[in-house]
Amino acid sequence: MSLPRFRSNHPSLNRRNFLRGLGGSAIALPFLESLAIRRARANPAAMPPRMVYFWFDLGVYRDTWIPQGGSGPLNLPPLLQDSLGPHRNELLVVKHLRNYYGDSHGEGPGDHARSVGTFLTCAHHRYGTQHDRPRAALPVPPNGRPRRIRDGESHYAYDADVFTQPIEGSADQVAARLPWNQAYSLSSLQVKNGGGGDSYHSDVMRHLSWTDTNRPAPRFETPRQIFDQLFANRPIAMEDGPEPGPTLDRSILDTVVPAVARLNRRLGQRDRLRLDRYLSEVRDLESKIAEAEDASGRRPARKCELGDAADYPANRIDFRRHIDLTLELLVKAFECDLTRIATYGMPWGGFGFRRDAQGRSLSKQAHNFYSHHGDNPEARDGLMSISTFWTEKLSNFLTAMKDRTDPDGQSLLHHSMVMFGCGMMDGNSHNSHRGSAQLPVILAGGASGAWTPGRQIDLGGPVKLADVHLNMLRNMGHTADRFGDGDGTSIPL
Amino acid sequence: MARSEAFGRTGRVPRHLVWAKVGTLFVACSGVVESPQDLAGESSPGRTGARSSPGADPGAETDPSTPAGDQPEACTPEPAFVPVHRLSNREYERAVADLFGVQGDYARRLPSDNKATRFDNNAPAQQLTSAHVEGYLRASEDVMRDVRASPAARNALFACEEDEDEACARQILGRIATVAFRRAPTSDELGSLMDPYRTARSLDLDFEEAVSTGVRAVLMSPNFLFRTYGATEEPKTGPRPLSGTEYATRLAAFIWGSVPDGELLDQARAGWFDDRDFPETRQRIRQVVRDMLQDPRARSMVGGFFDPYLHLDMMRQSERAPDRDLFVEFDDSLEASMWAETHTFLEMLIARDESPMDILTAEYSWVNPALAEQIYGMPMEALSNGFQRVPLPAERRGILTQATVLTMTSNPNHTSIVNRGLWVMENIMCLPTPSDAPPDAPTETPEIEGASIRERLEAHRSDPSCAVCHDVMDPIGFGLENFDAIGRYRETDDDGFPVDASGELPGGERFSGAVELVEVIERSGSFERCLAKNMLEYAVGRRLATSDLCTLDRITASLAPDAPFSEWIAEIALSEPFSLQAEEESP
Repeated sequence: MSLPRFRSNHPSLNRRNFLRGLGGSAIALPFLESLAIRRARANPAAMPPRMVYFWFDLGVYRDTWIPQGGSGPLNLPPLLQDSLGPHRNELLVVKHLRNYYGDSHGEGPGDHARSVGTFLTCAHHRYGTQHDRPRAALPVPPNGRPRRIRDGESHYAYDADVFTQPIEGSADQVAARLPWNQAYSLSSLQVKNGGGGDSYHSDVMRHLSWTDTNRPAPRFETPRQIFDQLFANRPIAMEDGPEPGPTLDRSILDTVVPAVARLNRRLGQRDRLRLDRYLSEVRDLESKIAEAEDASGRRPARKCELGDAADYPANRIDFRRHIDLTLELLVKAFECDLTRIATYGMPWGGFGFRRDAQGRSLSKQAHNFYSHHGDNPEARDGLMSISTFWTEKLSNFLTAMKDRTDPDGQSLLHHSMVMFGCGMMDGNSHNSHRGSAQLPVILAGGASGAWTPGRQIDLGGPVKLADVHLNMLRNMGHTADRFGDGDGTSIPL
Repeated sequence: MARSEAFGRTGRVPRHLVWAKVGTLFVACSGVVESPQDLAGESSPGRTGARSSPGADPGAETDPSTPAGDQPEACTPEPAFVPVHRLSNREYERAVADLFGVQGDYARRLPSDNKATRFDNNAPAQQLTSAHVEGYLRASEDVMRDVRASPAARNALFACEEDEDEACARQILGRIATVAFRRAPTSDELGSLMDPYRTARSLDLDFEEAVSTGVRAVLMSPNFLFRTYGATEEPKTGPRPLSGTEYATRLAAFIWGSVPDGELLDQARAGWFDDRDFPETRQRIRQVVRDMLQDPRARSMVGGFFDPYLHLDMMRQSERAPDRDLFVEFDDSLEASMWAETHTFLEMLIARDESPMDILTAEYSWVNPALAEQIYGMPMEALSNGFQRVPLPAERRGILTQATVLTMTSNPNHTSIVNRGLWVMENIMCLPTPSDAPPDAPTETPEIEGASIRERLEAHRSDPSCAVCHDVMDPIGFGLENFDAIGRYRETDDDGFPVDASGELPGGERFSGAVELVEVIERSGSFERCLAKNMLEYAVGRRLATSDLCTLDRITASLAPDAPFSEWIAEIALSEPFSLQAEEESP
């Protein structure tokens, strides 16, 4: 291995200054990739399509998201006409979409958590420990024995299984593990703001993405956390040659290995498992860096403007601004080809949605009030206004993805698969099957040609959400024929 | 004698059944108990229970070597196993601030902490992913950049009495590792930490940058990032005590939200915290706890413990922020004043070492002129700028009537009886509450033409599946109806009906208005237990289990009704779950 022997002492040329400099903007040149991967990534248009999930909370008003008529050209429902009309030809709507495990199946209440935890897994998760349940309201499951995470003890939150059957992860995490995706130092990005509550059950609500049966994927909240993940946390090459960052990083990581070994001698088995995980992540990063150091010619796959980190706040901000900044960062990340997979659980809020012609708000209720509309006209209108709010955001994202191109001249959107939707149907009942019985989900993008958008699909009967995930996974090169409760008894997209 | 038996005799458990008076309503805390019998708290004394005799030192310890005497049904507090703890993101930032004197949002490099309890320090839910390793690498870089940019921090870190670079680097790294690792590094470890320094020098980096690289290795070390409990190379069976250093580390996390400083570590090394069943040791620990709470670092208990315990960040959720068209007085500045009132109240409670029961019952608060005028309707002249401790108007008592709580539990344009009731149940009384309404339950308050909210909620409660919770929630919420959605006193509700703030709880306790409601809650003893439960959960960094009920009984029984905050913290720190590590369960 050859170490870079020269480092410019010119203050403006070290990496940190470089990133901070240039009049506030910076250039990202990702380089932590092996040669083969770099070759593959030379042309992002040749990579499998991007996978983008947007989730929103609390459902919609009855059937307002469902197009009329059978299969054929997309007949956008009136409610979505204004916001999504311009993108009619990039959208795909599957009618009668259902998520079987979005229902309780003996786990009692918990529709809020289920609308999160099952959306990308299509698997049955526990409501929580027995202790998290309201005792008197607790329905006894058919076998007469309340389920528990672990008999008698509830404090091993994630050391116990969250899902009732082993799962291989949520769709985005299954995709993140695909071999070609190892080309990307950021295999996937998960953004979701914390929900309220403090039970185990509420923590499930914070995670759309699951690595496996009992581990949520790392989750980021603030725009600055996202910016750092995308652009700043990974070693970034200088255009003007080698610099010592990665070498120093590796020398630091080298010291961790003996330290863990020494500490482990004094720990029991459970603790050793934890420390070993730290160690294996350290080793993994070390080898990635070594690989990058060994490779010659650190040419980045692409080069693009990142903007200034200072534009992205590290604190809690208004949910509208959060959505705008996050979408902006996601578009940049896709344009720079920093990752192929992103999941965004959009934060919610809900007052002031209903406005008169002068823009004054007519109704300022909480989102949950509108959601449980009970066909009350104020709540119904509020909930429909919220729908418009969501779809306007989707529309902005689609516009940005369409305006930017991959090297083959096609839009980023053409090389993407977007799912935008909610795990609840009609907000009133808060769950995934009662009421209108169709999930409000909109697909967008061309899947690099695998999808023919501009259509609606009506198979006359229920379609499993899991089958849509499976379709997306297969378009990315996943070869399995099952995902969640889906078996790919397929739907032509 | 087994250690746990020794501990078992250090406190008495008077059987006092004030609780029974309110039946199963004022039950123990939710989440971990198994049956209504556990909940009813047969062994759970109320606040008014006969504890230490008047004049006795509330901190006096029973000699563990003497027989326990008449102690029927003495329960045995048990520790539970807590896996190795990673610094939470909050603790990481505090620790770095204390080690180097720099402040920053360094944790923005890291994934957000999972929270399987209210608190961010739940050990079993903590994760380690590649994003953490990368995040720590980058965060340590940010820290060292800030250290070198701050003259004070830079001088402190790079101070060295050696002439030669390498010896100097070794001295600095040894010094910083000794605090960060809570022990002196071995010569092997120090040698290992010198490797990054040498690598950096070989790349022609200057001395400070090279030493910084070594310091970054200290910050990446598991000896810094993790706290262990009962680590030992010997075979382990049964509960074992934390070492003095481990104990000091846990204390620092509990009280300062950080790592121990040199002084606390010296005390640990001098054996101050060993043999924690000896009365002298326990007295010494009480003193150390008092001293730690007088340190400005103890303010981090407000952000680390009280904010999540009381869900005060609901105040920052735009979801429920007041409608500023309706409440024109409510602007950013008033919102900030509300936030500051509750935080000043809590900080001063810690600093003045007052009774935490004041949270429920205080007849005072800390207000500024804006709050005095706009919310509390107090005479302005009496107040200078800034926050002052003032007596509350007669219709108010404690945090339930502070503007923060009243505002954050309201909807944007009107009060929410249900939200207020729920907040009190969850945070003040620790009653089990549903996270969700049961399936198929109508969650909408029925629309009844011309009916008041009271009548409409009564209709809602006629459904038994709703009544379970609403029978408690609604009366509490009605008790607070004299305060509007930003906490101002009123006598007419949002729908124009005269406020009827009376209520009756399922146990038969009647009250009218906030002050009587507070008295009912105080008599029930539920707040005392609820606070102890949350403190213990924060202190040990895991969920409580059934085995902890006995510890909670002990803690509340040992505390005099007006015990100051430091006594509470000391009781927790001296409890078995805090002091001992249980035998490991198989994974």
